[in-house]
Amino acid sequence: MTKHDPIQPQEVVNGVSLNATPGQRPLVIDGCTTMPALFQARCTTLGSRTAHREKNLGIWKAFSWTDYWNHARLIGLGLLRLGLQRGRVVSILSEDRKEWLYADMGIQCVGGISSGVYTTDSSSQLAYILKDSDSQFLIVENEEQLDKFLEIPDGAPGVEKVIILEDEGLHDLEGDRYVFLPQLYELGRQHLADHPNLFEAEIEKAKAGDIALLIYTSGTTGAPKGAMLSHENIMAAIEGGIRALPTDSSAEQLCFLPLCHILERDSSIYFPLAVRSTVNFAESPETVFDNLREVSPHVFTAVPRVWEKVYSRVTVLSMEATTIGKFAFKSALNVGMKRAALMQAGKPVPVTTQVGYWLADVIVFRNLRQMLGLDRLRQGTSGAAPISPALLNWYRAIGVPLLEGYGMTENAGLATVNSEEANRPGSVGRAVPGVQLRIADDGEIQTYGLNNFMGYWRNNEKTAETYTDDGWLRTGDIGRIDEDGFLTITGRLKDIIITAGGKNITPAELESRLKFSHYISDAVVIGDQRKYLTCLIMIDQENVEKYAQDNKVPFSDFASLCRAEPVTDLIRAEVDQVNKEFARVEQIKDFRLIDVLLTAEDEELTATMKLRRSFVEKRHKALIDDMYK
Amino acid sequence: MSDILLEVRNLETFYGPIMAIRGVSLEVRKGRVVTVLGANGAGKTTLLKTISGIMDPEKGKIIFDGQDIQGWEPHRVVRAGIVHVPEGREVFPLLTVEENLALGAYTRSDRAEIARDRDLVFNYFPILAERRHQEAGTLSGGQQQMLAIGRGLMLRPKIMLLDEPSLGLSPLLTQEIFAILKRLNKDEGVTMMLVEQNAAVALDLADDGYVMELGRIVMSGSADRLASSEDIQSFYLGHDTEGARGERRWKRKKTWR
Repeated sequence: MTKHDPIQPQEVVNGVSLNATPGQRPLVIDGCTTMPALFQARCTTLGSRTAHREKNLGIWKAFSWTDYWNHARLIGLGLLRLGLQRGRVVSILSEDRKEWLYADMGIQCVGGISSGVYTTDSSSQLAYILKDSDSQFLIVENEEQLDKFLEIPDGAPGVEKVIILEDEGLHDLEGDRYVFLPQLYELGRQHLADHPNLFEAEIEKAKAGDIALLIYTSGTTGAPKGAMLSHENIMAAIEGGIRALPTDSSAEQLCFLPLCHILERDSSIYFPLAVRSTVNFAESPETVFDNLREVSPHVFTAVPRVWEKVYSRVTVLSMEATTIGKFAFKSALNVGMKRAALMQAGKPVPVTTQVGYWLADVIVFRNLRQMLGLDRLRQGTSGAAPISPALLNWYRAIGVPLLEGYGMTENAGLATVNSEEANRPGSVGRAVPGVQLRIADDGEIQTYGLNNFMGYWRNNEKTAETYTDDGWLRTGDIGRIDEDGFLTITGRLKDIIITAGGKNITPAELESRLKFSHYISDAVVIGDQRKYLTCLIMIDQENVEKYAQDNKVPFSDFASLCRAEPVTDLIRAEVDQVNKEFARVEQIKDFRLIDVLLTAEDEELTATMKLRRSFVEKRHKALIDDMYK
Repeated sequence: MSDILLEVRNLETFYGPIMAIRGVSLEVRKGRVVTVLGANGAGKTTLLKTISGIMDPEKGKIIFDGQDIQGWEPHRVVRAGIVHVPEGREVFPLLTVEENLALGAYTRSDRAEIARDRDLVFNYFPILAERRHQEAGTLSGGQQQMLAIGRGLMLRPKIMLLDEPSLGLSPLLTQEIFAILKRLNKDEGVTMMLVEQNAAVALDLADDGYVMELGRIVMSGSADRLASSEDIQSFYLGHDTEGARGERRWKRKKTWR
């Protein structure tokens, strides 16, 4: 076991031993300096305890830490048998499932670099990533994903073997380039018999500064870049996370966002390794809300889109309730909001409000939380995109603790977060322990800490652009830090619009205000080198449909919904509302609705369902030009 | 547009607590054939039943020829000029062909005209003339379907609602019936709203189309546009690209555009 003698004095935080001073080298977590070592330590001590659950034919099945270890070991050894070399990349193209974890840890333990590919990526995107990362192996989930590989025109010659997790529909597949998972396990077993202690020896070889992961960042412009994260980078994120977001080993979690994304990777693989919590895999992206109810997690990390969806569901349900039900919900929400506002302002809550809230909680909120599957929630977090402070307050009112945080792939996914004790909705919180923040002269947020990534894979030029001369990470975001250390993000540096009148505008400020309307799902403000600002809007299908239905607005499909005049009027009212908060030159003069229902497969959307500015501007050029006629 | 004959606005229909139609809006212009496609359980039949008054909508409007007809009793709807040719034909099995046709003209009293229309039906479906004295129950499935359509024509409807006329028929017979429907539309100017699972024949006949899924309309447009949409091609017309292996089992996701 790689147990380096701790040089730093230790302290125990939430049951995990950490350096007493965060952000120091060597960074140790329970005596380990690498992810494989931590993985080994956990599996050894936790043994038969449940590590994760997966739903199989409608029944949740538990898998122990020993299962976790055995499978990861077989995958790791199987890959070695196939010839995996230390420092080479293995790409994983699969939806979230337990084998994702087994592969991720197995690869890292034998010195490979694990790289996730989005299942929504096209064949050509896959081809690019395989080539750029020089992947030695590719792990694909099933037939559908395999077909993407097979469609690559030059056959991706660099990839030596393709490992397939599910053989359904592939019995006729021939060729020694393809290995099915059971075969890989068998190769692993043979290798284990031949070299009983090899896996442990490989774990021993890992060093804190080795590359553990490649994470391809979507990149709003240009080709995707592979961000290299070392073991130390991940450990630093864990160190900050454990201190800033206390959880313990009894916590149940739900994993449903793509594991290729740093947010889900941290919260469903690496943090659970450290805090010993249990991860439950959602069946599919469509069943998340049912799975949420079944699992009723203690810790739940999601993107704003998911939190908004839950909110709209409750709103729609409450509108369809009986008169008494409506009244009860409304009064309860009033009390809840009042209490939340007082607590927010740090003022004492008067006894009458407390009693009222207790009643509201017993009669309304407790049932509501149960219905949503949030009744056991101790900590909800939102990241990857801005969330409305009004929404945060709403959750607080119904008794759901929801906190906003901030991070990016390049700093291992975690830089700042709010906490129960210090929560300021609208800000993304304070820097987590071990991470430093500063604002550059141009307003850019810069971070410094052991979580700062090693650079982009084989792209020194881009790496150099990402770091300042004194070694701080340029996040590309702009924002401000208040006197208490809370960070507020106002936009992206690259997205700053300079209108023809010479006025600098950060579109994100307008965009996030627009997004807070629950009829607007996302928006892109346009106006660079133009006379005035305009905006492309993606409407929230469910809520706008409900509005149309309630107000007798006829529509057939999504395009006709977007065309309906009352719908444009509705959105115009929302835009006008937002305009009121901004100075004249910053106001949106015109807008158009994007009349196609975008899905994750579309290039206009990121994996977390945000609009991608450059693609949107290109794809909908006609709409934009129409606004400047 | 003034030539809109039938307009449905935000229709919602329930089976007890189950919402079968979740806000459907569509329009049928005079002289056109409009098809509604969709899988089983999409709500197509319920939509037709709601229009013809067999079911009452919870919400929404049905405007026919300038009048609000939602919630009307079926007999009033028929008198207004809407004929429903139901799924599974539903001819009167113990009555003869002629009697079935006579019942189709139940609301009319102009004997001479009725006789002319009956000849028209026999002209379009000669086989029915041959079997005019036979009990309808003894006809073949295809002949029964013809009889059901013929019975509908006897009303001289302003619009015919056709619920899966191809159900249970051989491909050849389906083509035959659709060819007759086409002639009826072209020569007699009969407006039709056609619910079908057989998308290929339906889109061939129709001018406009809607696609329903789970009680909602997910796509609409001219029949040509629908026929060329990738989703329709792979989910309704079975033209699937085979992929790199020459076989594939997974379904692409529907986007309806």
